[in-house]
Amino acid sequence: MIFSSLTFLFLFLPLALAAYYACPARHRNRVALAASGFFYAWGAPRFVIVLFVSSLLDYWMSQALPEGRRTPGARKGVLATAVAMNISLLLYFKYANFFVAEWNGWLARFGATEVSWTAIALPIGISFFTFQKVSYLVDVYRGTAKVARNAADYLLYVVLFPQLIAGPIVRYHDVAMQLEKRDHTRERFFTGILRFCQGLGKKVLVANTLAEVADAAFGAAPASLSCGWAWMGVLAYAFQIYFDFSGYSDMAIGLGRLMGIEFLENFNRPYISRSITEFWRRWHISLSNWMREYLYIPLGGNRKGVWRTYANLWLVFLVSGFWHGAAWNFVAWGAFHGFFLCLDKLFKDTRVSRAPAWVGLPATFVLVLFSWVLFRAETLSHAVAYMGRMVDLLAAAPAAPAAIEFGLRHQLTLLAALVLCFGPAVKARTFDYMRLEPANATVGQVLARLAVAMLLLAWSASVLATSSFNPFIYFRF
Amino acid sequence: MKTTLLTAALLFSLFLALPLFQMATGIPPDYVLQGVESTAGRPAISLSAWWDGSLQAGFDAWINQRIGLRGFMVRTANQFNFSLFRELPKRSGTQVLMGRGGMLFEKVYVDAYNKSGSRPEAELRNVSISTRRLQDRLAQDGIAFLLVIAPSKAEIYPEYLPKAADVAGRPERRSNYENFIRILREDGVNLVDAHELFLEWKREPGAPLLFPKGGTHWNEYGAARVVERITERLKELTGKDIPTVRITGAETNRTIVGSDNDLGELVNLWSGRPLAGPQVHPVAEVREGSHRPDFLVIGDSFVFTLTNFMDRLGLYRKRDTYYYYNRHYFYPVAPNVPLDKRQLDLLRELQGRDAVVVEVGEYWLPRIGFGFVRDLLKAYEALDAARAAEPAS
Repeated sequence: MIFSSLTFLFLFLPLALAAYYACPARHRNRVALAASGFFYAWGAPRFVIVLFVSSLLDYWMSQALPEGRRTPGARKGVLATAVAMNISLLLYFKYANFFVAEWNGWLARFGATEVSWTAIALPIGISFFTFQKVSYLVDVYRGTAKVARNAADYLLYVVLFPQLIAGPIVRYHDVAMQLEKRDHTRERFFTGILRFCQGLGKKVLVANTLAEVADAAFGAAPASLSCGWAWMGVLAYAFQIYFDFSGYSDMAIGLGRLMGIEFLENFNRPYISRSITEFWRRWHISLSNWMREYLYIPLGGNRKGVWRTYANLWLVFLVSGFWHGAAWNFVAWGAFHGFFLCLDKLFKDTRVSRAPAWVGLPATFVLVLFSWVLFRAETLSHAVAYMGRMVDLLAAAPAAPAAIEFGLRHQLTLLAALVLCFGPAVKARTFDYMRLEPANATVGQVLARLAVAMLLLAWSASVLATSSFNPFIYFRF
Repeated sequence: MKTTLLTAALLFSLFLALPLFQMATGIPPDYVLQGVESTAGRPAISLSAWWDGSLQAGFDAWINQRIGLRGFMVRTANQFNFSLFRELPKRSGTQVLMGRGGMLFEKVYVDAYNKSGSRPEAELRNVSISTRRLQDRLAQDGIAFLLVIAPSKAEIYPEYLPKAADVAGRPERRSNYENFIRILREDGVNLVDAHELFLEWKREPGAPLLFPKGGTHWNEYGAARVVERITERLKELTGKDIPTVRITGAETNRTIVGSDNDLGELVNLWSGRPLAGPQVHPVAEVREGSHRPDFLVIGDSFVFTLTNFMDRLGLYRKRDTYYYYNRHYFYPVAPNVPLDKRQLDLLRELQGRDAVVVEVGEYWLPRIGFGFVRDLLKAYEALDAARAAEPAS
């Protein structure tokens, strides 16, 4: 079940919220857990057992992790076992197909018989909940969080439906207290409404519209694209992925607030970044935090010399790329970002790093656009061919492929996306319109924001309703 | 402020709950959606269906069709898109395109306009010969046969096609119609070629539109002029004094009849009326005859404008229509029913008929009669073989 579906909007969400608030406060975690279990079981019935059993094992093993419960060696052993179990599940479900295909590719090159293999289906959200589970285990081991009060609390942390499918990746120590006790205030509920509707609008009205342009451009043979259309396609994709992903995070944050839970921000206007380093402080913040805390720092971070720092950084980004998808283009995407992050570090405190915003911002955005080609292309060779069209300024420009439709709706949506993404670089406060704290607002301001939110909700729901309506003019039998 | 925030929470909750409430109670009433969609059945609930995901997929499809206020939501989204972006909905069903001057087209006809006919000459010749054989066999029983070819709006009014259809850049091509009409004429099939007639009538000084702005089929005026030709031809072919029609003029008003705004309605805006434009209606005179005929008509969706007009003028005592040779419509009026071809005795159906009229849109060529010609020929062959096998008495 995805948030941008009629089943979620008009069945699951109202029923889940009604059940949640109809219950006394002490039972609300159980309602949230039941709703989340149903949510996951609806979308991925085959994997619900994997998720619940592995989570219960985590909880059981976590009992041995706090300092003083076992010897340091035993604690380390339990942590390693628990983390290995979760990472193995991720490797098996997400990467086994890829590794077997690669292995078979090599065997075929040497004329050997290929390994027979039945493709494994990917459990929804496994990349996200695996990182959350590791976060819990490490936090408990490090003592930054206590062992969950009971198995139900821990399960709720793992499967809580707002963040289960697409994040944000919630670190255990960020929500541990809220799982035990949280306030359900009208202010929080109201900001949850604003945030959810804003996210839904970003996903349905902007991302889905620009996806039509991006899909057409990346679906076309690169040779059929002119330089301009190649850039248009990747520009559309850059906004599609931002509004899709940040829209989903907004919805998750909003839904969390509707249930009294605060998740940390996941995006902070990434396209106004002036360097790749800054971009990663603004893009998918929860992943960057996780990678820093649970991979970069354990690898030694920047404490082991300059070259080790660069190696660690690069490794983290390679892993990050591979985490995004089991294909070489994702690894290349990670390597690309890792490379430019290292360059950032290399030129830190030089004239290059002090370049004015009007140089840094567009330069960073262009680099990010190139990286999105690696991310969106079907294969590495497709990405290279696509980039070839982007830089081939002098080549004869074929007409726009017939498959690319770029009507007024696409043009205005792209314009809106440009304004929403780059406007804050000029006047940030104007773009904070929906980030209203009711405590500091007038009734009129609250009502105005509510009207905007309801309009976005109604418009998005209408668009979702029409996508399932494909009538014929007459029966033709 | 606390009251305002509580009101906001209630409003949001009500908004989320309203579709479910409407679905359960029917309150408030919803808009009806125009068009035909395949109905998603209620999914069967079982553990195996849940396990393999078919329950969830089936439930999503089912709820998407039945959720309360769906009609309002669909029309709202379409209206927003149309008002803000001048865009009509994109669908996997019938796709409607807006051409120059707000003229609506069905995309399949626009696509066909830009393509060459793909049917080989041998196939066209075979169909034509079969049709001529049927025409001759019917004539032996004193039944006239007439083939009416309905034109495609895109072929008659290419100047109104959407710019994206690239009218000017269309490659030289010959359509199935162009290839087929020559063969039909060579083989002597009785024809009313409305494609040719429409192009001719379009060139008349001050000619009114022959297709409605918001519809995919000929308008009542265009259809009436075809009826004029049909009745003249049938009078000649049957040799009987049957009623004929003369179209003496055209009247333009805003009255929508039949399929005049079928595409405009299919777009499902808050109101399809603004897409319809003015309508052209015929001024007709009937010349009564001494014989009120009985017709069997086979046709596609163009057929209704013809038969509705003829019904209204009372040109026959009985008329049956086989829509796509799949559904049976009656005159005088009776509920239409599916055509059960296994039970259908075509030769009995022909008894007492004066003429068989087969209408086919040029888009469908060479599918004359949608299987009717083949089945009736088979029935005749079986009859003739049985007669031949009978001992001479």
